[in-house]
Amino acid sequence: MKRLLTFTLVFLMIAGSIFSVKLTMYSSDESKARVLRQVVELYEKDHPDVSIEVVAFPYANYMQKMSLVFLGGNPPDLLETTATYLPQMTQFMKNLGPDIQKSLGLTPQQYKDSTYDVVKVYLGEGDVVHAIPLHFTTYSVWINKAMFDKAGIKYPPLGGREEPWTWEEFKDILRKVKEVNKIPYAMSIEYSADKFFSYLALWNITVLDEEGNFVMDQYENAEKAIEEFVNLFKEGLVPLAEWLSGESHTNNFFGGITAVDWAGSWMSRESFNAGKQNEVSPAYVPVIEDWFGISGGGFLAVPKTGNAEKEKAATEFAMWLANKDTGYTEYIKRSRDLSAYKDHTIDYGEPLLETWAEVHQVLAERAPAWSTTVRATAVWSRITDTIRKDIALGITGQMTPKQMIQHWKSEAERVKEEL
Amino acid sequence: MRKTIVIILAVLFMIPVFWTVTSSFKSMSEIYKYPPTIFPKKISFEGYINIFKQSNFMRYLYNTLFVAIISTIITVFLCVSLGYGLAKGTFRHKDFFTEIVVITLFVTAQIIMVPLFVIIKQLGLMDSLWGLIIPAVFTPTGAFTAIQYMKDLPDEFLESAKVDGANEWQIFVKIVIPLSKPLIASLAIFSFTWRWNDFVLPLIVINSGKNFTIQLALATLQGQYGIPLNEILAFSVMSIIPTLIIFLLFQNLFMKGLSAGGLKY
Amino acid sequence: MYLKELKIVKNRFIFTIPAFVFHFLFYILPIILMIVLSFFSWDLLSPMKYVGLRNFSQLMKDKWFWNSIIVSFKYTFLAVPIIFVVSLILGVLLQEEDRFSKIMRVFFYWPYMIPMVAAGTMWKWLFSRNFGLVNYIITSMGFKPVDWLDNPTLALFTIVLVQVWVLAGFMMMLFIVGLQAIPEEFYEAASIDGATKFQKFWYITLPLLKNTNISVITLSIANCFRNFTIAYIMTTGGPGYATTVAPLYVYQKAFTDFRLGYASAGSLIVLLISFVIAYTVRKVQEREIEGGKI
Repeated sequence: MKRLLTFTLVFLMIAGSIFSVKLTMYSSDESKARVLRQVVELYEKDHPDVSIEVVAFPYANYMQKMSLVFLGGNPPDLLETTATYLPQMTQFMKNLGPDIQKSLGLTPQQYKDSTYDVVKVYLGEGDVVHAIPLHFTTYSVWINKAMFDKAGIKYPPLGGREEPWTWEEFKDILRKVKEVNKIPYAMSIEYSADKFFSYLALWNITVLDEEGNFVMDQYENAEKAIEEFVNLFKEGLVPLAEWLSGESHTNNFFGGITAVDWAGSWMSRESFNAGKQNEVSPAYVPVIEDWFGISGGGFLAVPKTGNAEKEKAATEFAMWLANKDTGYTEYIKRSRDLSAYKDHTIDYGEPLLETWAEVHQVLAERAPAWSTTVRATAVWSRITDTIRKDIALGITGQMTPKQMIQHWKSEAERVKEEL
Repeated sequence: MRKTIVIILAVLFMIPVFWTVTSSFKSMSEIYKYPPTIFPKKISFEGYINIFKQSNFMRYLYNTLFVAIISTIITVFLCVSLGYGLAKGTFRHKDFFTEIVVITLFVTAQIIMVPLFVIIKQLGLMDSLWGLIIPAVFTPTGAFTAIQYMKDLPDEFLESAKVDGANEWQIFVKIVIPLSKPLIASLAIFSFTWRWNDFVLPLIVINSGKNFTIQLALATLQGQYGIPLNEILAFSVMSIIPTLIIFLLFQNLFMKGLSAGGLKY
Repeated sequence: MYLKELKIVKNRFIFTIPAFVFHFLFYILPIILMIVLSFFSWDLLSPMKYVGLRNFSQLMKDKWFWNSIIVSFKYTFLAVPIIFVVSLILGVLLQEEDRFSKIMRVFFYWPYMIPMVAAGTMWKWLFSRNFGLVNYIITSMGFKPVDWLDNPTLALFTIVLVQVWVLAGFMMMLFIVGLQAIPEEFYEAASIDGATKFQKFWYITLPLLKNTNISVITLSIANCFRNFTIAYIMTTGGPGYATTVAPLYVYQKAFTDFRLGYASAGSLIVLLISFVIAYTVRKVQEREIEGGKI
């Protein structure tokens, strides 16, 4: 009897190791990887024959690492990546279109239509689905509740005001909140070209068109828009240090040095991590020509590895995570981000998050598709560093808006030519 | 007098370190607090707990120790031997060979990353701890230090050994190595520190979680939206301990006032 | 024929062979590949395109590239003398093998042991304009906050300060090794002659440290011309390009803009320039030694 038991056990162990598939997933961020590990655990419970290891790499070096991984012909079975990096990697990804048809019963087009327009842009053209969406982020303006109350300022839509502020109103509010609360500055804006773009888009101005051609010089208001942005710093409304030495905007905002943070929906999670969730609130961005939040987010793709068995197992996991009824809801609940699918309300188990999600949904739904397609071009990611550096030079008075536009134009044209 | 100056300087040097250690015991909300607190109001082990809960710290520790110890042994041997050859050799084009070493002092590892990746890949060292050891065993800084040290060794020691009938191997083992003890000690300390804190090689070589090193895991904490500062601080406080031990161990190899009198061959 | 009779053994070339094998594979070969790359346009993911000398001709016109070299010069010539003096003082004070020295050395070497990422993050936090501890202390004493990292000139000084903090302990160790190699007999002779402590240091110690001095200076120059982690973490090269040292500029071209060929061409130029500087400094010192032999 004992012998039989041992034998069975050994057999099961061997069988297990033969039939089980080991997959590797790369992630661009340790905090996302921690969420992914939790849902992977759920998946493994239902699929004992599959085990997935989630490996995170430093965000700043992620594109570098992935480029080397593809160059060396050694891609992982699953790959999590952000909107910034995905467009450059699609050539290495498996087309998930047919699998979506099979497992979700939706045509690729129907599937993509079930996501927000701004997410759809990243997923692939025609019937191709290169990646499935994970979390979804959009820009908003975060405010310090106590400081706004003290200055008697109402904020939309959670603080007793319906309509977004106008740009002039917004600037006055910044001045007022700074003065009343006796804080050194009013608003934080992270040192990044995307933050600048999220502002510029409100002027209905874009840097590039959807093919990656430079078009900013064709807008009458372009110089004025840059000047207004630079003036926020010159007037002492935004800490110079944030754009001159990359001082942390979260520290300034959570530390009470600024009353506003021009950031986005990811601040929901950050505020919980910092234990500040009851002190802050998202608000609508001001209206300049238009008002909306440009989007970003995370995606999951299945790279072509050439190993049919692993690709199949990886695809199955991706399908599980693409399905709102199985993995997706579990994932988004834990990541505390927004759902990438339209009409998908999440029970976060945290009323605050649900209220905040509604604010962000409004901002996301208003966003025109170009605000995303432009940034999905290969040109954009290669000129972002130039853009933010030039603006920093503008803040210290070393460059005029006109010179900036000219410089960006020549850079964009050079990049386009080299591609 | 000497002690006072040293202590004042040491205090100045240690301020950031002190701040790191005390801050690593703060909670995230206290870290965000302004004005900053010098000592944590409430001691929090959040950072430390997260490291052990969320990452395979012991595995990273083992990997990094393995890499650092093995490569230190090889590095010390390579550098001492090269330094001796280039400082006391009599072959032609010696200066040219020395300059070849010196020029590589100026190479930024991050810049030659891609060519290095191609070579490591061709050698079949990808995703293995040996891929972190073999490409790093030669270090220009170590080599240059050794060359300069060896230049100072009096030629008379070597000559008198030769007169006494010792061959080149005997001279190296019985004269040069004992006379190089301070060099060996410092090279061991340096080399261990370099390998311990290396980030570039792990980044390009390592693909799977089981081969992660401490530095790679530490850098991974710097995320897209925010950094868990308390975890980073806790990580760096803990990661320093092994280097500290190596330092204290090897310090005893230094010797004041080496002289030929005590040497036997 | 015996092994010990070989020519390469007799002239001691054999001792250099093991190191040179690794040196060639992991340093020389990558440099050669980098030279090849500098004639191509490549973003790592698409096929390489041969562009001849275009990268170099673009570099000639790239004003921020040349600016970064100037920044590197300033950075190096500011940092190296300070590092030299501080570490020499530390070395002299801590050269004895007593318990006090052994303990105190640890504290000065400590900064070198801390991972650069962590040290940079720490310093950035300390010197932060708006929530840093340093400015907090300054303002609570009634002074105006200082733009440690946001004033283009001061930012460079701040970064130099961190560089000194990191490297001084390392260089101190080199000095200790060098100082300990000086035979006691030299000092004994001088004591008999009635030399003061300072005289002994000036006329005996310093000249006898010749090769250590060269080491420290060359390695400091190399370090300042090679490393960019401190600047990268503390200011990301800002304000504007004020702390963008040459290797940082090249690195950003390579891995932010993904222009591998351009970056290779740039780093070749940086490599050559920094080598020439260090070579000149070293040769001048070596000549001095030969001229003023004691």
